[in-house]
This record gives sequence, structure tokens and C-alpha cells, in this order.
Amino acid sequence: MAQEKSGLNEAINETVDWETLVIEPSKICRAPKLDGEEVDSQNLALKLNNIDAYYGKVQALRRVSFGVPTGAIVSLLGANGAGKSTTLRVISGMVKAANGDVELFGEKIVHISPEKIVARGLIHVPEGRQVFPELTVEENLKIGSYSVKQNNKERAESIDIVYTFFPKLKQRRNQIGQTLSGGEQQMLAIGRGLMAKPKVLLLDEPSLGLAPVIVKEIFEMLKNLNKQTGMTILLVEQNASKALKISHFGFVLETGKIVMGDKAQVLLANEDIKKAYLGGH
Amino acid sequence: MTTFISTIFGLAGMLFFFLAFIKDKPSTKRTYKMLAGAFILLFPFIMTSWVQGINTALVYAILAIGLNILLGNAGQISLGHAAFYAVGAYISSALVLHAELPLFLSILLAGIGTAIVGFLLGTPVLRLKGHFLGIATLGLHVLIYNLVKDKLKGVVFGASAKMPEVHKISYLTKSWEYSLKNSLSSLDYQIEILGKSKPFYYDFVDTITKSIGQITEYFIIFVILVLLVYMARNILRTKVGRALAALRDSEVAARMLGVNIAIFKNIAFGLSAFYAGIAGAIYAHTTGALDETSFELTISLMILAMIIIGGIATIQGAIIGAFFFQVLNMQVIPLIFSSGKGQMLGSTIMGLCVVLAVIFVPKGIVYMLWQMKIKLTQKRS
Repeated sequence: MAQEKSGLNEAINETVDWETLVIEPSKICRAPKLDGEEVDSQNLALKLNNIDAYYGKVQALRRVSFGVPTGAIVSLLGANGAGKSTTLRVISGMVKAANGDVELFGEKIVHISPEKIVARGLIHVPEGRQVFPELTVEENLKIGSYSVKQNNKERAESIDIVYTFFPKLKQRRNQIGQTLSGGEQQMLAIGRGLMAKPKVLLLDEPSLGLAPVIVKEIFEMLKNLNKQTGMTILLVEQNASKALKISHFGFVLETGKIVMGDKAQVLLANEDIKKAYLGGH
Repeated sequence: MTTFISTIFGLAGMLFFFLAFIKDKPSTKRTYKMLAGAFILLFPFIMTSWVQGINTALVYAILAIGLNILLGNAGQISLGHAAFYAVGAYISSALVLHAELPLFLSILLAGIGTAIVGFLLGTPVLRLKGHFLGIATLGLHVLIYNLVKDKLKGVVFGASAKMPEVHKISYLTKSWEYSLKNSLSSLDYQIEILGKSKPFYYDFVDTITKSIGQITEYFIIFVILVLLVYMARNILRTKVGRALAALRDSEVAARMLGVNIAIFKNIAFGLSAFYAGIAGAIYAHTTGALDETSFELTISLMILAMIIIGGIATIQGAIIGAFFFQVLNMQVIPLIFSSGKGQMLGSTIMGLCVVLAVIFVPKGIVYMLWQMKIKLTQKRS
């Protein structure tokens, strides 16, 4: 199974007609091709269609449209305040979009409450970890499984799966959240998200405030996760080069608008992108 | 002499509780726990004059545990908790007076009924956060308080505004009281008519006879408190408890993980109201007369202060806070200022205590004790 999935993953990069994903909503619906087969828009795990979002009177997103194919890692890049986090919040239902549609596997989720979106298989790991400080690692993980109907045995199995991805968490299982290091907290935040058995994982700045070694470890893990389980990952990052290296595809947001979108390798080689986002790294 | 004995006994009891809390070695801990248990059992017979005050403390402890679930565990403030206290008291009174249900069933039903009221009222109110929630619960209190004052009181109690003796907890041991009185009068007969000398246990029997009702209440309320503590501990360890903690620590993260925060907020409100309802029902069946002054805003604020002084988010903290307040209020302060002036100075001292506690032990007495415990164990090793 894992073999087959990873095969599919390789195939994504080669066969998806990436240009159909970009920018113009009319184009998004056109089918990307996987393994040479024509597939319809259902093969998009996520589709954003003309999203407008406001904080009070300030417009944070302007007609944002893009698609995330099933089984891919997609990065959303941009400067501070470009609207990256807002995009994720709109998808997970934490911020209501003023206009536009979000589709998760072809079903509209834009007016659904966050907990129901989680139940449909989408998890948003928030910026700054937001680990529950007074609960132990294991209790934190258990809260992640509230949207899934499980008995104790099944839950224990899910916890074990998380521990195989993050062995460090197992050592710390009875420690309370606030005593963990930043890297461990980030791992816990991701692991907690995995407990809900998501099909789509949204990650907001997983590298924030972490040492480079830890960032590398976490990104390796994300790549593994995607390869082994075929989980679709939408990654928001300031650390653009690291993010693009593990991604299949990337979009660039500027002041609430998508201004560019291409294969990850192409973006990595792009001079403008290099100047704007890859400079320091 | 009796004051001396009871003071020594009381101090010894507190020492047992303290040692049972501090000691780590299981065998010594067990010994002190048993001594503390013995203290609890013997307490009403030796410190009889304290029983009534401690009964009130036990009721407040139940209230404080309930509010602590809402405030400490779920992070939602309520400034009008006395409203639920009143609801419980009136539901239970109505059930015994008009539906003629047995006493304990009506106490339980009062708890459940108040929980339902809390759950339902929680829906509109809990959409608010922080200060706004505080103000809304304050409003809720005013609403229920006035409802009680103007309508419920007359409807439930009629013109007499009193509950017959039969419906009081103390009535359970009424027959014992009569037999005690009989034996006391036969003792009187022997002493006065037959000229026998006064037996040494005469005073003891005399005090017990006078306060058997209160002693009964003490044991009943104590058992109820133990059951409720057990219930709270178990609930807080399960899925609900974790969800409430998640709600308190980060509502956003909880939502993002698919926790239905609206439901859990309602559950927290309902659970907390359940405790307040039981406390109110007990109050109704001990005093027998429900005056709206018993449910004034000061009660809400006092419970809040109890939790803060005792230690937020812990069951022990709620209990310690309730006892600290009550012992200070009912016993120690009147002891120091025996005249009427004491009462006024008393509230001043209470207020001062709250201020000092917030400054010096912001996390409450329980955390202070824990710190002591940690220091002691570190010294030893």
C-alpha cells in the first residue's frame, strides 16, 4: 500500500498538469491529469474559489483561488501579513469568508463549523503550536481524537502511530505540555492533528522559532508522512526554501492576492522569488 | 475546660490533615489519613459548638467545587453563581412540599433540575467571553434573584415562608432526639429527686441532645460532599475533563481539533449548576426557611474568593478555601472580637485576607502546600 502511494506521489510531480491549478478559477476546475488518466475536479483535495475575507473593515484576502491536488504537498509562501494564515483559517472555518467557496473533496465547506470540517478530514495545525499547557502529552493527543469515534484500544493504536512518527513524544508522554521544548511542542501540535486521522493537513509556520536542526527534522517527517500515508499537506511558511524543497508545488501570496504559482523546483529557480523570499536562507 | 479540649482537638485535627497531605511515605501517609478520618468522625461530638458553622462550610465547599469546575477547569467566569444555589433550594423545596417526594430524591432532582437550567441558560450566555461573560452572569443573577424574591417564594412556601420540620435533614434523627431527651430527664429525676451525684457524662449527653439535629446534618452533608468530590474527580479525568481543560487553555486550538466547544461550555455550566443546585437543596433542608437574602450577590463573590484563596482548578483548593473562609468568619473572628463590633471588623478582615492572598499566594493555599511538600522532599533526599 505504502509502495503504491509513494508511486502515486512521484507520479504527481510528473503528470499533473500543474498549470491548470493556478490563479484563474475557471482553470482550476479543469482536470489535472494523474498517471495519464483524465480526472475531474474531485481529485482536488482542496479548491478555493474567489475567496474574499475581511478582519473588520480590512480586507485580508482578495479573490484568492487555487487548488491542492490529493496526495500533494503544496506550499503557500509570502511575506508577513500577506494573508497566508488567513487563507488557512478560512479553509478550516475559523474565519468566515465574505465571498467565495472552499471545496474539500468536491464538497462545499465554507459555511460549516470548524468541528464539522475536522470531522470531514481536515486538520489545521495553528501557528505558534497552541499546545494545551496544563495537559500531558498523551492527554493533548487524546483531545486530537475527539472528532473520531474510537474505542480506547483504537485510540491507543492511533497514539502509537503518532509515536512512531515522533519517538521523542513517547519519552515525554507524561510530561505536561508547557514543559516541552519548542520543537517538541511543534511535534505535539502536529501529532495531535494526526490523531483526527485527517486526509488534509494544514500547517501554519511549523518552523517558527525553532532551531534549524529541529526544522529539518520536522520537514523530513512531513515528507515521510506524505509519502507513507498519501496525506495531502498545505504548508504555510516563511522559510520558503526549506518549504519548497519538500513541496510539489507552491503559491505566492502578496497583500491578499495570489501572484504566482508553479512547480516547487521552478519557484526555487525563479530569480524574483529568490530575491524576495529565499534571500536570507 | 471543654473549650480547652476542643481547641487542642481541633488543632490536632488540622495537623493530621496537614501531615496526611505533606507526607510521602505510604505507611505514614495512611496512618495520618486514618487519624484525620477519626477526627472527622469524632469532631461533632467534641467540638459541638462548631458543628453549625462547619455545616455551612461543607455546603459552601460543594458550591465552590461546582464553580471551580466552571472557572478553574473550563475557564469560564460566573459572577452569579448564587442564582443556581437559589434555583436548587427552591426546586427541592417545591418537590418536598408540593410533590411530596422523599428528601434525598428531591435533593438529587434539584441538582439535576438546576443542571438543566444551567445547561439551557448557558447556551445564550456562553457565547460571550471574559468580562462580557462576567457581566452577563451578573445579569442572570439579578434576574433569578428577583424572580425568587417576587414570585417563587410565595408560590413554594405560601404565607408561612417556612418548611415543616418533617422535610428537614435533622428530622431523620428526631426519634433519637426524643429518646436522648427521655434518658436526660430520667437522669434529671435521679439527680434531683433521688439525690444521686451528677454523672460525668451528663454535660456531654446534654450538649449532644441539644445539637443532635446539627450533628445529623453534619454527617449527611459530609457523605454528600464525599460523593460529589468523587464524581468531580472522575469526570475531570475523562474525556469531558480534558475537553474543559482544552477550552480553558486555548479555545482556538480546541476548535481546530474538532472539539465542539459550544457543547462543552454548556456541559461545564450544567455541571457547575448541578453542584450549586445540590448545595442549595441541602441549604433549604437544613434551614427550612428560604429568605432571598441567603442568595445575594455577596454569596457569589464569596465563593469566587474561596476558590481564589484555596487554589484554582483543584478540588482540594475549593474545599480548603470554603473551610478557611468559614472558620475565619464564624469562629476565629468572633473569638477575637466577642462583641457586636467584631462582626463588622470581621468582614473587613475577610476582605484584607482576600487582598493579601491574591498578592502573596496568587495560586492559592493548595499550591503553597504543594510547594512546601516539594521543598520537604527535596531536603530529605
